[in-house]
Amino acid sequence: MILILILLVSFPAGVPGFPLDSLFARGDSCINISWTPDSVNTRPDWYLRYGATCDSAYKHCDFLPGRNYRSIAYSYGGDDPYRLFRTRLEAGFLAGSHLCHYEAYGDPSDTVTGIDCSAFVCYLWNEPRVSTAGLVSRYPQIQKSELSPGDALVKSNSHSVVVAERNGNDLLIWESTSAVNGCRERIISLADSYWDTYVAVRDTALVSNEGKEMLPGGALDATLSLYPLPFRETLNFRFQNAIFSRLGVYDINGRSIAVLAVLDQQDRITWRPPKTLSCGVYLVRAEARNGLTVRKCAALVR
Amino acid sequence: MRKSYKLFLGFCFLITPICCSSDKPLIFEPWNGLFSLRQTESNDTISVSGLFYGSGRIFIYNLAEGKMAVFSEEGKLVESVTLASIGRNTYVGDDFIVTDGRIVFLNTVDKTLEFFDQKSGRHLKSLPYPQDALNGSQSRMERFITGIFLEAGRIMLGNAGQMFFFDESTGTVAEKERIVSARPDEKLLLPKVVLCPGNDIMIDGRKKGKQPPTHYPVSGKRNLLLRGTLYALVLDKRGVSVLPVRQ
Repeated sequence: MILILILLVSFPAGVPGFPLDSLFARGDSCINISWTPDSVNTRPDWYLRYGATCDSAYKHCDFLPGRNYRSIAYSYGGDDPYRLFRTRLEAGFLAGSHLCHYEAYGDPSDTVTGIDCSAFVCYLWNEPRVSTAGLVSRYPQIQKSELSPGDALVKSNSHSVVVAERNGNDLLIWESTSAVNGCRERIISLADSYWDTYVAVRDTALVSNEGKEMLPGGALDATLSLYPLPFRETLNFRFQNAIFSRLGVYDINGRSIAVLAVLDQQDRITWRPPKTLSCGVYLVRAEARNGLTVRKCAALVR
Repeated sequence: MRKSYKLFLGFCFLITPICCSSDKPLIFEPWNGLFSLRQTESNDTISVSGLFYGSGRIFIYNLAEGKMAVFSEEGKLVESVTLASIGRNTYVGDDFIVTDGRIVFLNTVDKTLEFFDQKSGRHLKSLPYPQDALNGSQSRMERFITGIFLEAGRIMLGNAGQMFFFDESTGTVAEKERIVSARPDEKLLLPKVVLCPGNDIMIDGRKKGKQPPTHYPVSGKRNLLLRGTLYALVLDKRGVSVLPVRQ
């Protein structure tokens, strides 16, 4: 067990967090931009040819020429970020193919696709693409009462949405859905029994930067030292050439364990964890004037 | 014989309060009749998205098929009108009103009002609405326009906090009455209702309970006030009901 923890600490030295502001910027971009494919983007011959061994449903393009789509429309297939998607579309690439095409023929070089609901969540989170079932199994589940901006509501093998804002039971959510040909925002209420079948999940790599200009993750990461690793009675934070304003320790499920304020000119802090702290892996989030970084560390049984 | 008689009485004793606890629905339509459920490509289920009462008619929009079902005040089906597509599958909007022979939808995806002919379902026009009218709040949610209302024949847009009159001729906010606070009243924002133990639907606050079942997402109005009685839209596994709310 101790060896595993030491390995965990030794190798993944830093996990750069993806800022919530960037998530919001992506969400805004997705709901505000629309596009309309033309006949070049939806050439039926390609789908007839490559859909031959797939189900008959795959012998057509998901998108119709002349129809308007809102940002990254729903479709199985690739997961181009919006700007790349639009650039390729303008260059006459095909818009939309199905998972079957990918499985049978790989990713044809001139084919781009929209993003489905779970890929939309992954795109906002800046995480590798997974299905709705993958979102549920890969990311820690939280109570719905803990849902906050950036978290997702997911129904396995069905649908997923990202929370943009919360006010009590009311949530402003972003989603990609075929019902409206793409992305949209809307307000939902957790009091609706409809949402009982959804689970709340959190990407613990998301970090709040409260509108600050970001440094590349690695640059800031190099300025923070944690020792000893793994730690038992104390954990020391030392900073070099960076002014951190706040340090937070979180468990692997994103629950806050401690928040430490950093005074001006202070270049090191010693944290004494509570005696009840369990053995395991914890995340340290260090917030600076010009960015933030997230590090993994491990506690040993005392 | 005596034992089974007692069992029967016991069964009646248990079942009677459940059967009698809810009043007779004004409207009940089982699934796969007038209303249906539809699975989207994303495996989400869409169905009825809301209702509206006006001009002596009850309108229920079936998002699954893009149809508007029109009922009399007695709950009898009068007609079902297929609305023309605006190019977004069956979606034409979230909330709606009916005025001057037109169905007006609030389309929050494109930030437009979509006008349809009430009789034919023909798409008449698409009118952008001002998105920044509720700009006073820091909260994005409080600035989000979620509802369309009818006040003395005029269109109002807003949410549970604020509303403004919409000038259809100019597509702008009517300046004289720019923003008004929205207060739950009998005309516009009907009170929220809850499903109480025993299956009574009551006004929120009078008794503790949870919101009436919406097994499928509802984006428009869920309540209507008809001859002084408040009714609630309920979507459950059996179908679509419009049930009276106990006062």
